[in-house]
Amino acid sequence: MAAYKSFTSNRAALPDPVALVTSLRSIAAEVGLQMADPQHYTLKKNNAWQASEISTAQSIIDSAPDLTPERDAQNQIDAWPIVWKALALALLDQINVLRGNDGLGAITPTQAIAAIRAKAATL
Amino acid sequence: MALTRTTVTDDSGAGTDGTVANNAWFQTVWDTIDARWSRTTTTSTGTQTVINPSEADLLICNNATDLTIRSLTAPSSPAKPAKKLVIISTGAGNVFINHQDTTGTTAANRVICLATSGPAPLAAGVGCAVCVYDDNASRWRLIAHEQGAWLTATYSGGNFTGNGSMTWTVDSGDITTMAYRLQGRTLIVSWYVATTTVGGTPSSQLIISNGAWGSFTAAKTVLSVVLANDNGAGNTQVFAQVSGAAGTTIIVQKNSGNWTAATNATAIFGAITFEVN
Repeated sequence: MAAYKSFTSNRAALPDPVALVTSLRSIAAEVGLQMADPQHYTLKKNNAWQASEISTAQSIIDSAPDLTPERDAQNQIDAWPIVWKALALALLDQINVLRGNDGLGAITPTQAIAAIRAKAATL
Repeated sequence: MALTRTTVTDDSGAGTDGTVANNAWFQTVWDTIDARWSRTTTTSTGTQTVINPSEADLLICNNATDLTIRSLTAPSSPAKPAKKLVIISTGAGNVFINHQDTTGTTAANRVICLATSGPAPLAAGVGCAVCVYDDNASRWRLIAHEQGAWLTATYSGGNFTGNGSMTWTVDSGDITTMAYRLQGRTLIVSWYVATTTVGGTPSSQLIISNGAWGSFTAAKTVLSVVLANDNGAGNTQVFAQVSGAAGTTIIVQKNSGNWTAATNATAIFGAITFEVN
């Protein structure tokens, strides 16, 4: 049966929700997150919360990286819909044709997306 | 009930045998009129076939748990066009007035409500309504209604489904808000639902059935921009829609593509306003 636990934090800024959930799921694979504001959170898991889990979750919430514009952009890139992926990869295909003409190796889609994420982190 | 008639004896002309219309006599008349206004209280709960206001002008519903009123006893003869009955909720339970409920009721006792596809809700302790008796139609008419507070229907997981072979599991604890407010025939439904689970074969629609919003049916097709967080990917714009063909569902749909199968990671936030039958 689902078990919910409320947490508060002294955080001043919202955490990166993707990074936060990834870390929280070290407690249990199904942990879900409701985040109302930087100070209030509700976590959900299938079974009753144990004291050690509560402590771990609190620590994770308190220390999760802030949601910066750069991180937000990276999260959006990771969740790109087909239309954006198609645009990027179609351009990549043409770039790889040119690279091939110059004897350069092709850039893979994974490498291209990683590069876009990396660029978002610098803007 | 009819006012008590104060007997008056016409004087024969002798000046000695007629009713003396003195102050005491007039006070009797005024007292009778003052007593005309009365109040009655019910503490009934559950579904009641008929509530009898006993000619009162004010019906106080001091029910400890929800009360559903199928009908109200009509005013007794003689005809009382526009006989008013004010109904107020003072108890801990909500009050629901059914529209033209035919289950076990006498026709003349039924209530014609503003919205016809669901009961007029009076929120516990604050809701109120005004009915008048239409002796021409032999029905009570609900002419004014103030729900008083937003209402949340009793949780049922069956009110939350996915289309096709997709499953959508919403636990009671996932619901921060799932509430509605009826004003006339305008219904506002608001939701804040998180950490839900999408499973099965992903498809496009998360569906909220009208059991979660008073059981009304939509009279107009309306589309509203709302928010969702699909598999924790961040809040994005999606849309909610009701169908005017007596729609019984609010469909929350992404602008394109299907929802993502994910555990405790799908959230929807928003509200929609539409006319109900």
